Amino acid sequence: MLVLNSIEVMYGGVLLILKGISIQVPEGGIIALLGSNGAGKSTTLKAISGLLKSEEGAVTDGSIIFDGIRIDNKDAYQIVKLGIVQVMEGRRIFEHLTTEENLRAGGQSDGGSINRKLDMVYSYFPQLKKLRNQVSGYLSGGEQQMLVIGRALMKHPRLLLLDEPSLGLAPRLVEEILGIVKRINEDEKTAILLVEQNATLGLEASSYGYVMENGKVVLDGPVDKLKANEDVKEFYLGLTEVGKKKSYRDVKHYTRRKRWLA
Amino acid sequence: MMEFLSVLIPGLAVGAIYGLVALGFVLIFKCSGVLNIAQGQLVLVGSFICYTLSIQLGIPFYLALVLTLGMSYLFGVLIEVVLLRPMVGQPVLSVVMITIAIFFILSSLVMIFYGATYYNYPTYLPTEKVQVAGIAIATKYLWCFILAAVLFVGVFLFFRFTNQGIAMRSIADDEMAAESLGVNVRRLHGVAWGLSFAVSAGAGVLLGTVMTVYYGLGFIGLKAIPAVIVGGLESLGGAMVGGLIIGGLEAVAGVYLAPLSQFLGGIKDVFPYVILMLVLLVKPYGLFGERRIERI
Repeated sequence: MLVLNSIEVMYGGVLLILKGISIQVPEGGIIALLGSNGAGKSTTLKAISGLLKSEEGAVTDGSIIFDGIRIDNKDAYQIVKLGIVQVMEGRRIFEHLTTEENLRAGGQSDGGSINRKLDMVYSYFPQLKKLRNQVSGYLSGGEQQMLVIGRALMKHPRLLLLDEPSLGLAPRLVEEILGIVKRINEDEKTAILLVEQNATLGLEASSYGYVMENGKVVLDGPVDKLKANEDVKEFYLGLTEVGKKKSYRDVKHYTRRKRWLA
Repeated sequence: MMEFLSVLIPGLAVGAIYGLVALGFVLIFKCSGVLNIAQGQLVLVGSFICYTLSIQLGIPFYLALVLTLGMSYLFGVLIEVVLLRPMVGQPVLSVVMITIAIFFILSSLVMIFYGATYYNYPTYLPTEKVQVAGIAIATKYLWCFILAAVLFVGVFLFFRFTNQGIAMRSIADDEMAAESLGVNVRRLHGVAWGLSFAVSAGAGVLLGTVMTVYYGLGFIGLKAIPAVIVGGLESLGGAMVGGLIIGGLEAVAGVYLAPLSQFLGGIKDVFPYVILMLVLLVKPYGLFGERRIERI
């Protein structure tokens, strides 16, 4: 459904952030995009959703194709109309608007009754219904995360780009929210591209994963294969081989070479 | 008491006009974060557009008024598209400098075409006074309240209930998040400028009715700045209340404080700024300004 063909993204005409990324998202799938800080995960999402332009970034090479339409030169609102909605990192709610107004801010421009969409969102997040007339700036972190996901759902996206939904939330809440995301994926047939620093979580929720480092995809494969990969285990999942004698050399993990950077 | 009210009510009427201009200010500031210094000049231009239509072209006055609002809307959109859109993402100070340029260009244009002469609208309101609670009020002041209220309520309902209005408020909170939801930010910036110009032009016509149509209206329109800051930069209701406060107190100060001493002769024009300072000392966000929300 979505294909990124070796795209390059440059900021301000000088800073090359993405150096040839190729990613595919199939219809109705959940795909994880893993990597540490500064790997270029968020930039990848913004390249897809067209939000780069307001940060003086641009796709300078390669192409992004959604359902056979090239979208890397389109504006953000046109891309939303095609059915791709990004939930940005860090719970960017409209803090002076009420919960319901937050949802409605995302609900215009396409057909269909707003009330029906509101009911749909409230059915996934019953908590939000109770808070519908509260100023959203005073909601708790978990509620705000639910609100931004719900707000994106109002657009009835065919592809949802989720940027670090687990950021700064208690583990129990993270579980709950990821559970809802999976339900959305099954019920609404919404494909999901999930960006996570928390690799354990990301791999748990998805079926296929990409690992990014320094603006490149260094590894990709079905989740089972990734989980079994020695490097992913060590550098992303924090697992080491049990029962082996550890030398100081192993502890100083930064002296170890990752195989994929060879 | 009677005398006091007969001073206060015209003051409040002028205050309602300040409030309208302030409303135009807030519209632009809320949506695009630009402090539009040229707002006062829009009042001037609006009053002259209506003059040209109604006197020079002989269009019936109320029709001319509606046309003035419409033309000002288009003018606002045009200015946004041509002058401000290329400035998106540039430092706020540069954008404010552009509005200062607009200020001078507009006032010079009015000076070139109309000079410093005083003009009058055709008398479109009955001249006899209306009795309200025992006080005789000139019809033109009542008209000020009515038109100001209609425009204000219109703008208020627009922001509270329509999808476009809510989308505009969302832009004020987080422009990029709004964009990520498919809000066409650039188009709504244009709408905000258009609405702001239309509201200010309405204020211009009212000022021209209450006073006369002349070059100095632009500077009277600038009194909206204290009104805006007293009310709080982001609050529509605050703009209106701020306008009423400034207008009322200004009139009262002009009549009751000015005769007290020869040094207080010009107090009427300074008084809005005195109020401005006092309010800011007590409430730095203005009376109804948005404060940053901090969760505990």
